[in-house]
Amino acid sequence: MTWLDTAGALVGFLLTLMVFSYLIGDNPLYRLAVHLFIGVAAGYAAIMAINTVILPRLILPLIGGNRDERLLALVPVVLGWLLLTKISSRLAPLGSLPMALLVGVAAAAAVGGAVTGTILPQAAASINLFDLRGEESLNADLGLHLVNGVIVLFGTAATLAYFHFGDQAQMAPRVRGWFEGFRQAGQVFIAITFGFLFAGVYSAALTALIERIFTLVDLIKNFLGSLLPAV
Amino acid sequence: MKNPLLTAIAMAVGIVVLAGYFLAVDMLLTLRAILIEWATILVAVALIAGVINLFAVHWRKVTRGSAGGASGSTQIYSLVLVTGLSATLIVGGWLGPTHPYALWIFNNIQLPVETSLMAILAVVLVYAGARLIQRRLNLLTVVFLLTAVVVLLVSGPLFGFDLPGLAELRAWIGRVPAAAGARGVILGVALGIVTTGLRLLAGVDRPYEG
Amino acid sequence: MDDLACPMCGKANPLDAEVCAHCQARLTPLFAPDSDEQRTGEDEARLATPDDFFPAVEPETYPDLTIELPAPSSDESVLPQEAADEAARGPADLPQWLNWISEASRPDSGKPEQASTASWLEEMRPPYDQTPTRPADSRLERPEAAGPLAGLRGVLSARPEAIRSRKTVVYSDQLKVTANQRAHADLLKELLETEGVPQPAPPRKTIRSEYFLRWGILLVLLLVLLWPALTGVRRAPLPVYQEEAAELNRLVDQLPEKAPVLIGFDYDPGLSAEVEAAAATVIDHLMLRGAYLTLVSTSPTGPLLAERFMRITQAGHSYASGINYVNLGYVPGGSVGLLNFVGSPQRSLPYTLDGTPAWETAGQDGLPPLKGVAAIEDFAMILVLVADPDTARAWVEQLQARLGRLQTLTSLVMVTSAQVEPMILPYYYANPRQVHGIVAGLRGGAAYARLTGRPGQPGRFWDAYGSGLLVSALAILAGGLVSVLLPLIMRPAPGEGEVGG
Repeated sequence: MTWLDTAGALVGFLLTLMVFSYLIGDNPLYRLAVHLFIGVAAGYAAIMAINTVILPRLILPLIGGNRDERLLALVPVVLGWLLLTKISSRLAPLGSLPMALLVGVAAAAAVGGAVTGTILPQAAASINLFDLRGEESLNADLGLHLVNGVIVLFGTAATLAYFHFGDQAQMAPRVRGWFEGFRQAGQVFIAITFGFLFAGVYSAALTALIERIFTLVDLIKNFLGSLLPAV
Repeated sequence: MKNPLLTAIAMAVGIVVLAGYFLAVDMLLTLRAILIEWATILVAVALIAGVINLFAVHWRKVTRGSAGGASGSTQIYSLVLVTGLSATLIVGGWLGPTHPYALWIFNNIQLPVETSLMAILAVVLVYAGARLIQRRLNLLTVVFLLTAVVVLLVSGPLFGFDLPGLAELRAWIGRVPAAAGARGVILGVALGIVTTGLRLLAGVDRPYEG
Repeated sequence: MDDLACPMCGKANPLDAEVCAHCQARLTPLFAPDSDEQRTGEDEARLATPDDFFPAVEPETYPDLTIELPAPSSDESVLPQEAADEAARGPADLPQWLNWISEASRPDSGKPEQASTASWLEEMRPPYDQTPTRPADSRLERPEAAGPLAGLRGVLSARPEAIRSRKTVVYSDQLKVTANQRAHADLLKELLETEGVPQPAPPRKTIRSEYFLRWGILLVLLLVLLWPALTGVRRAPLPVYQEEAAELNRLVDQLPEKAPVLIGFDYDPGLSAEVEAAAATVIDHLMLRGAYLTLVSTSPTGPLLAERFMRITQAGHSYASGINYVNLGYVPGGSVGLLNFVGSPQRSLPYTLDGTPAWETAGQDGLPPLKGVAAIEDFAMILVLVADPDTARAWVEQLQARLGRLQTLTSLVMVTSAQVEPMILPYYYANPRQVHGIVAGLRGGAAYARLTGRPGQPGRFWDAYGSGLLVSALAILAGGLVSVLLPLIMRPAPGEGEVGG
């Protein structure tokens, strides 16, 4: 382990303790660690943006590209400069044009992806649960498969019903009662899903805690090992 | 302030990109690819603009101090931030992001802090879970907590053993009721995205103005 | 001194007043009184009543309101004004019914004679000596006997008795304020006065009761987790069969040698411990199969995490950058960036992270990992390492649009954090599948490691992981039970006279 690695391990150890001090309460050590982290993260983000996007796809085509490439690169250069005016409150309106392009593209990408990637396939999946043609060779217990399919379909519909915020006053009272019960069932499915999610989030946090503890113990072991080689 | 030109640009660009999901016309796909590439470049520019703004705000706090409304401790925090940002830009920009020195900063500063922030979440989540019923006692809270406890218990080796049946129980919970709720949630999210996106594409919402 | 009470507001006025000094209501009628009934200042105090203007009328003697029109003249074309003009010019040709005009205009008429009025008008002459009578009966069925509404039923009486004159209420100019209101007013005054004046911050208690509970939880977790870290014990068996992990394992086994595999590093550094522990076994398997790896990321820190991952977790393999794997770098924009990359990887990321041209073009050979790869569907497998549900969904959606249309054999598999697992399982259990294999969290990585027989990082953490989960689950359960049972135990016993139980 070189001196740089040792120094780095010590710095990481100190920063870990400074962040853990938050469990005592918000304190200057914790804030120092967080501010340092924000600065470093912002720096890396800027480096990545410049190295992998700005330089190869904007600067290099302008300098070394052919005529078509230069013309094509000129438009994002102009738009990029206009976008930078957003930093100044006085010049910010100039940045509305590139923002409009960004919003249009992003909205279309989101809508197209949601329709083709989630809504249509997942809606089909809810129905295809009862497509047993492929399941016969894979699962002998078709009855259980059907029951599971009914539960999944019911749960999916009930969850969607829970998110329905339309005007229920127009429904007949009896229908409204059934719909309300359906929504309550959706809440139960959502509670189960979020309980599963909570367990997942905790598992991820616990793994991070384990990794930190193991790293600290390894560092102390290495340090003690270098001091006490006979141990 | 309404600007029909901006709205027309956003709508036209959006329609071209959206149409490319469903139509395979060469000219349309070419124009679509160009627009998407421009948008990707603009996102990178926006990221740089954000970093510049972050630097400017904290630099102002450092240089103006109490005259600019920043207390002594805030000045120190801002100084630390500016120093970290500058050092990273210099080392990573000059030597390259994969240089050992640049990776040293990443491995020994950013990674430990972020991992530690995630680690303290473990304590906070146990505390929150233990107090949840005290704050709100109803059927849904009980279902939520019971599901979480069961999944936690069977996700690891219980008492050091991998008991049979528990894995199947966990798999069933994940495959059937949790997947049903999750499918409803992601469908609901997707429908919400479509609604919001279509409002943007139709020019009803114009966040780019002003 | 006797005063004249106003019929409208009831306030006192001098006897000779014509209008009320308070509300400007008329106290005397607006017509010339008869000489015999002329009022004097010595009249006794009386109340001017509506009957002064509208005399009481018996219902049976309701006045005849018909108007007697004069007989029409022989000359019907003559207008009254023309007739008056004719009278002014001379009496010679005046119609008979206009003779009274010429008689009145004679200079020697002397004292004007009293005009004769119609009987109904005579009866409306107000009596000046009317004295106040008793208040009107409030029963609405009785027909009104006086005033302009005489003869009508269900109306408010116009008689003075209906309007009880009473002494004016004297209002104090001092507010009646309760002690509570006074306290609130003082508080508001104090708030307004201290506005803008910086107040010293109250000293914060550094130690609160909830911190003890948090410290207790942290202490227990540390004790439980330190033991495996210090001893390095690995007793707990790795988890058995997991369908999603087994499916991923099968797909990797089916890859040909030197198959191009795209790996997306899209997780935050904070979750690197879990994702890397889970992904290490999968990528280790890929390297054992000899796959060519292409690394990409839609997160700014992704390329750095990828470099770190390859150098630390896969140090046992002799994989070199540019030869066995390439790191293409960062694609900004989230879904937009993915759409760009999926549509045209060469245009989107033409260089590697260290600036080397990566792709095969007409003028150059591409790097070995990208030989024969021109589009996204040329990759044999796309493996995404992800810790956020939205990022995972973005990958699935943008890849689905292209791969689903082209019906390729490229499989999409994921190594995710445990927090993503429930949101990505619907894509796995779709029919047809959108995600073909999943390794979720440390548990998934440990299950995969059991399949490959190479425990690696998941095995190292597995014992501590199991102990930590057990302790946490019991702590949450205990906290819930205490919260439910404690109020029942601490509930005070019912007192005397109260119903027990």
